[in-house]
Amino acid sequence: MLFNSFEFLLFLPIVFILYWFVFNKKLSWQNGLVLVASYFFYGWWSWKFMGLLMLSTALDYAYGFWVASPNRKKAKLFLWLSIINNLGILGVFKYYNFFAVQFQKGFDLLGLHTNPVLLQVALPIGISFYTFHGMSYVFDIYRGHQKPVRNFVDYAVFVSFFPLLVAGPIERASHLLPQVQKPRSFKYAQAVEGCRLILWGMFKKVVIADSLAGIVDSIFSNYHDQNGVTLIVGAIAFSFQIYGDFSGYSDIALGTAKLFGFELLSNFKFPYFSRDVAEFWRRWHISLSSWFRDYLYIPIGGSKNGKYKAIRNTFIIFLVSGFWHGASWNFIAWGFIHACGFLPLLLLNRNRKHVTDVVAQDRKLPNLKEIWQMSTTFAFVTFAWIFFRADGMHIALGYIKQIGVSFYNNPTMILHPCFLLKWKMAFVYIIPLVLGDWYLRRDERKLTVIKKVKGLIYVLLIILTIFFLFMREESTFIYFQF
Amino acid sequence: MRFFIFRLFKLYLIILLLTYPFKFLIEKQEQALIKYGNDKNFIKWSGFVNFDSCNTIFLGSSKIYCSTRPLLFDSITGLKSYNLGTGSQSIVESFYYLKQASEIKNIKNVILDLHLSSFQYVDLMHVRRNMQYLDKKIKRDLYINSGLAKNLFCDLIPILEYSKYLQKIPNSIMYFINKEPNKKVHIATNFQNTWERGFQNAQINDTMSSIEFKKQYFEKNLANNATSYPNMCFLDSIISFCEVHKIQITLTNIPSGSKVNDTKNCTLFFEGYLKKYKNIHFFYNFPKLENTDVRSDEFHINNIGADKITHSLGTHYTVISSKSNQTHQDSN
Repeated sequence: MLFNSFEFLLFLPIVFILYWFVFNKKLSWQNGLVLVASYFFYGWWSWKFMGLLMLSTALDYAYGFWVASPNRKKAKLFLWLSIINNLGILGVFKYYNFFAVQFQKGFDLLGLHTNPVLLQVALPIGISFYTFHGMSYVFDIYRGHQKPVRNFVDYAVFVSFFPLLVAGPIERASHLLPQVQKPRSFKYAQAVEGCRLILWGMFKKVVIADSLAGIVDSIFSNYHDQNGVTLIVGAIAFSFQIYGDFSGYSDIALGTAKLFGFELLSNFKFPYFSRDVAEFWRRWHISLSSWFRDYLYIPIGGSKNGKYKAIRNTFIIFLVSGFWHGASWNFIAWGFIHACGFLPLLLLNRNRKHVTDVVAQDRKLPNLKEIWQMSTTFAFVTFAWIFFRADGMHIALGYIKQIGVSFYNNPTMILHPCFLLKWKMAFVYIIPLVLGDWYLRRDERKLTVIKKVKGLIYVLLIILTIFFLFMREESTFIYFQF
Repeated sequence: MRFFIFRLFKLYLIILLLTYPFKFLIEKQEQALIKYGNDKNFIKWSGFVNFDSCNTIFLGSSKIYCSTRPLLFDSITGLKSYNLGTGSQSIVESFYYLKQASEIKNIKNVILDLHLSSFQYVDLMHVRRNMQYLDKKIKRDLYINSGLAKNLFCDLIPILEYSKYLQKIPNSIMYFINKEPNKKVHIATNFQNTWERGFQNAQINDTMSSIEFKKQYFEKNLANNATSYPNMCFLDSIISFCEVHKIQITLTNIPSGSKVNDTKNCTLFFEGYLKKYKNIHFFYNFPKLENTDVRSDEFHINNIGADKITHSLGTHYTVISSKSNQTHQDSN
């Protein structure tokens, strides 16, 4: 079931009413309802993969007890078994074919011709997310940050909670489990905030991202026939498409969770206002980058064992992050590019700037330096997105080459407004998103205008969103494929 | 909690209040169409209801309603046919037309034209508008089967019913801003909009010139991927319905020449899809229609082309009919 579907708009109120009016007598009933609703939500996509979700949940639940053993050797053994189990599931469904083809190419280079058996299985939706949930639970128990959960239903709710089941945010056991185990009461302010988040998320996805998708698809699919300005517009449009799509999904997930009394981890904090690549990664897909920091970067040494190891570990993290997104060289290249962008900051010890503050903290508008910083960071990130969006390395490189060739043949192209005018529709969608986010960047998602104007804005957003939702066929979220 | 639900309900009422006036603005146009009988589908359906002893119907989009002449078809096959093809008819509509038609007439044969775009996206409002003159039971089925949630929201927020009209407003603004000429050039001189048993009886001199034909804007070829077509189940439903009600069904892929309905890819796709059915007739060996003398526009064929298509279809039908009769006699 997609968030941007009429089925979800029917499903949500029904579950909400059952949750607060029928099953609210006991916590166990509420958790049971959430679990059933989550499996129903997942099964709407494909009931066949429900078994895999159940298996992954059951195994990690069991591993949790074994890893809590006072015998550290035994605990470590089961930790590794859990890692192998989760990565194994991920490996089979997501990466097997990639490695099989790469081995085949490798053997071909050596003159040995092989014909590997490729798996004809679809990638189960959300597999990258719920396996990471399970792994974080087991890791936290091993480290002593978390005790094993006795109640299987509570644990299953943590793994398969429907707002975050298929595309995150990747929750931590220490953050979400206590909320599952504690009785929840309806809070008006939380519910209103939830509705606001759902509305803004839907607007970003349905109105902004889906509108830009058509423009991006038409440019990327015919990149060899386009001029340089168009290709740059395409890359910029994709930057906002993926942001609208993914942050929209996260907002809907957070908002939906709030309606049920849960607080999830924020996944985006206006990343395109970042002043450097390091800040970008503190603001983009926060749950994933913090997961890799805590469960991969720090265990392999982090930045504590000298500059060389810090650089090595940084590259590992970015390459793994790229690979997590997809079994393809262009995703690895995307990660590599970001690692290269991060490297100068690491070497100059400037990767920890701008940790707590936001751009133009006490001002309405940014100064020239901040504009320069944001522009260059955005340009860098957009360049990397070309690799993310392209269907393969050759397409990404071809896209970039076409930009270069086009500008080489016509260096003053950028000064001709006619090239930009053709794609002005892209900016019709981008500008409201940028303005909206700029306004909200300090007090996240708090619309501090007079009540009547606020009400009018919400009504307008609702009408636009439902109208656009209706006009278009339902479109999936980009991050569903990961 | 009650205050929260009350506020949500208040919000819904405000939205309804703001959007309801659109219903009256646009509905008048619709009312005029139906009241004065200019709605093509309504005229066609009324013609079918009043047509006696019909035993054969043609279903599909304008591809079939422009390409098959019922009178000529009947003279070749001895059947009594009516052309129920309608503009942009989706497979969902085809299914409901078949259902309703078989309830009011003794339908023995169905010729259904297939094209990929009718399986892709179903404009629900288009379907609801076209189905409004069918009976309540059909409309109820349609309501549930073609998207209960979406239909429910249309009823809760009436403006959604008119999304197609409202979509024209930004398109008109963009057209005005861009000042680009309309990409589709439709040449139709002395065009008479009469329905000869559902067939659009156009004048012969509506042929487009080869220069105009070449200027046409062809849309990109549709991807040949079954998972892109969520409504394939309706084709299965039509085939099952025919099986249960002992209706002989012939599937066709009438050529149109444009890349939207790229005949070769369409044929390959449907051939592959229909392999699971043993006794289904899928006919696509029509005469080549590359000559612009038989076209009225990039998608449609004129009377000259329709004669050729109908002749070919009728002859094929006679052959398969006689084969099945022969088989029936041999088994007896």
